[in-house]
Amino acid sequence: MINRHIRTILLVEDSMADAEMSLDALREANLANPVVHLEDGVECMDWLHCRGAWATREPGNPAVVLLDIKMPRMDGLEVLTRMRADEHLRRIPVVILSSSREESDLARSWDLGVNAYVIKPVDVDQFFTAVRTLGQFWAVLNQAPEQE
Amino acid sequence: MKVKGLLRWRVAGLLLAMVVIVVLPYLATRVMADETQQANLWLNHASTVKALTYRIAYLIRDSEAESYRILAGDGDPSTEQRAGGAKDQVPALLAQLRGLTRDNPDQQARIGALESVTNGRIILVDQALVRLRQGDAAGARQSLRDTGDLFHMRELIDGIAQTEDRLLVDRTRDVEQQVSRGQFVLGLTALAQLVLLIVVVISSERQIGKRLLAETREGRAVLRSQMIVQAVREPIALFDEQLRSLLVNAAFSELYGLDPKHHRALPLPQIGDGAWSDGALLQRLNDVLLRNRELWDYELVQRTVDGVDRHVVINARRIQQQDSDAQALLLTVSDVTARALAEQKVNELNHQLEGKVAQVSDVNRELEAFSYSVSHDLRAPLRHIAGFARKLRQHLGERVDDTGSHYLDVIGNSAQRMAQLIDDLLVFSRLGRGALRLQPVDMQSLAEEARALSEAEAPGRRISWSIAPLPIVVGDENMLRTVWQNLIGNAVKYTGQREVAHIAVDVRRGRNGDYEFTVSDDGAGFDMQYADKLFGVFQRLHRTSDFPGNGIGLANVRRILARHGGRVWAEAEPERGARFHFSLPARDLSGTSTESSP
Repeated sequence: MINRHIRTILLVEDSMADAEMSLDALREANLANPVVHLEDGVECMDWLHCRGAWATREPGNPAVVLLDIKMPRMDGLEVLTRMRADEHLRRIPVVILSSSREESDLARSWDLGVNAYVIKPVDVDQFFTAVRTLGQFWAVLNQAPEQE
Repeated sequence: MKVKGLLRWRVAGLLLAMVVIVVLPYLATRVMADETQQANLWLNHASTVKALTYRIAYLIRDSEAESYRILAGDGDPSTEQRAGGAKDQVPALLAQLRGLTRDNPDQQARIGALESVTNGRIILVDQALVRLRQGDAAGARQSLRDTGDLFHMRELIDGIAQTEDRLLVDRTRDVEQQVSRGQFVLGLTALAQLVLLIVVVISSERQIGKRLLAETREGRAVLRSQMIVQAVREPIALFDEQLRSLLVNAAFSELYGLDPKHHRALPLPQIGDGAWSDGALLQRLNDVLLRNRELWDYELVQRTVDGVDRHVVINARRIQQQDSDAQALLLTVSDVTARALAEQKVNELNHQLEGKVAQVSDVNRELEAFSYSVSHDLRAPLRHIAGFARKLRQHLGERVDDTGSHYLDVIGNSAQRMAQLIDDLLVFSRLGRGALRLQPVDMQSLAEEARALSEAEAPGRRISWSIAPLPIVVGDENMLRTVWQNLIGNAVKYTGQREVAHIAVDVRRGRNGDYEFTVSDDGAGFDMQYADKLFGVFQRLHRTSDFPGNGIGLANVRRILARHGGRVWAEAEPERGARFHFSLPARDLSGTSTESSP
């Protein structure tokens, strides 16, 4: 941990309300990791590839990508597909954080190699607990291989 | 084989009868002729014997008489000769007589006696003649007298004659017997001939009768088959090796405009205004004739004389003509126009149906998209309502009073409840859409599982369970699990006010092999008046404060059973418990119900 670069947590979510709640929850988790909120898949891919608005960002992959499925322009499954097809991005942990409990979404996500699929609970307490736990697990407990 | 054997025996019998008829009379006649001849011989024989005997007697007496005449001095040279005649002639006559009667010892004995008598008398006559020549007339007279006294000839002669007569009578009788026997035999053979003749006449009569009957039958059979060929609705025709028509039936004539009364041989291509001029078909028909390749269900569209395009199916095969070595082509035509039209109709309907199915699947797709968006988009605002109510509570902190706190609670709970309703609706909608995954399902273990789950959710309850042995059925396991969880869960829920609840699960086999499961309890029950509402979506018969729930469970149960081809129904009485029945059709794994549905 000491020698380790503290990696970003990427939250890709088009709903501002959801994003606000998720950010609250992550804040409650007291993580050292910075959290970046992106609003759709295109932004996410740009960020990952250090393109456009993020051309000048400090290089490095995120600790985890918390990905919504239903988003404008490019949806979560598309992002997941591209990441898994990319030599440099395919090992990044991706957690789908979605309202959808549709079997088809679950199946496709797992087929594409998602690391976890979490259905956003309507119950507030459950929601906060879920997002907090996710942040703690993927940013702190989980060990990913050194990249690049 | 049998007939041959019978024939052989018949021939043998006839030969035997012929032998009997021809040979026996011949033999009998011959025997009779022989006998008659023999009888005549015997008659001659008897006369000869008697003549000889009388001749001997005459010669003896003559010589004696002549001797007397000499003694009386009345002799002449011829008298002298005649007196000695007996001595010269009698021995030869005796020898002849002995020869004739050699077969009869009695006669021989008598002839022997006659011989000694005649010898004696001849010697005495000689003696008398010698004495007379010596002049001893008295001695001569004495000698002559002695002949009669010493040697009695008369009885012997009579004996011989009588014996011969008797023999003749005997022999004649024998012959007569023989003859009558022969006549008897002849009569018998005549009778046999008659019998045989009768037999022959009767049997040939019968044979002829049989043959006539067979011919009549055959004639009738031929007539019948002709009638059938003519009457059958399917066109049938027979063609020779040059494809000229030999026979056409009425249906064929009608279909191709031939004159049914005066049928004349026509080449096939000229029949029916060119309906048969299809080159490929003619080639195939020639193949049938030349190479004995049967033509099976050759489909063709022909324009027949009525100007209708008909779909016909042609079958043809080669057959041997009965009255010659030549081959014939038997052709049958099936008019399948109606069927073809029906098929076309079916195809059109199928097409329409496919269109409908496409529409339905479009609708289904839309429904799916709809429920997807419901699941995704409708829930998000609820989450936000609940989430921001929480944030508001945090934000206000100490400033929230009891009333405000209550409002925030209601907001959160309502959002929660709506989310639950959405989830329930989505489950219900999914139950109607997804494919059934049929597999063998152990109902026993599903019921036990549901029981365990319900008990876990109601700790502290006292429930007396009675679960009968349940069968393995074919169905979608997850769906059937839902059924059991709902029915058993309900039974547990609605017996909540009983100190000791009684819940029973049972099964029985319906008349058509269906399984009928029953879950009964002694709980709150319901008024049958509202029974029709029981299985509706979000329909409830009890207050949520009495029995919590949102009224989707039984709707799900009904939908699941409907999809399995079964049904669910209930009977109950308020405060006396409820009995829920559901049936499942017996089916195999291929998913087809083994019982044809009514």
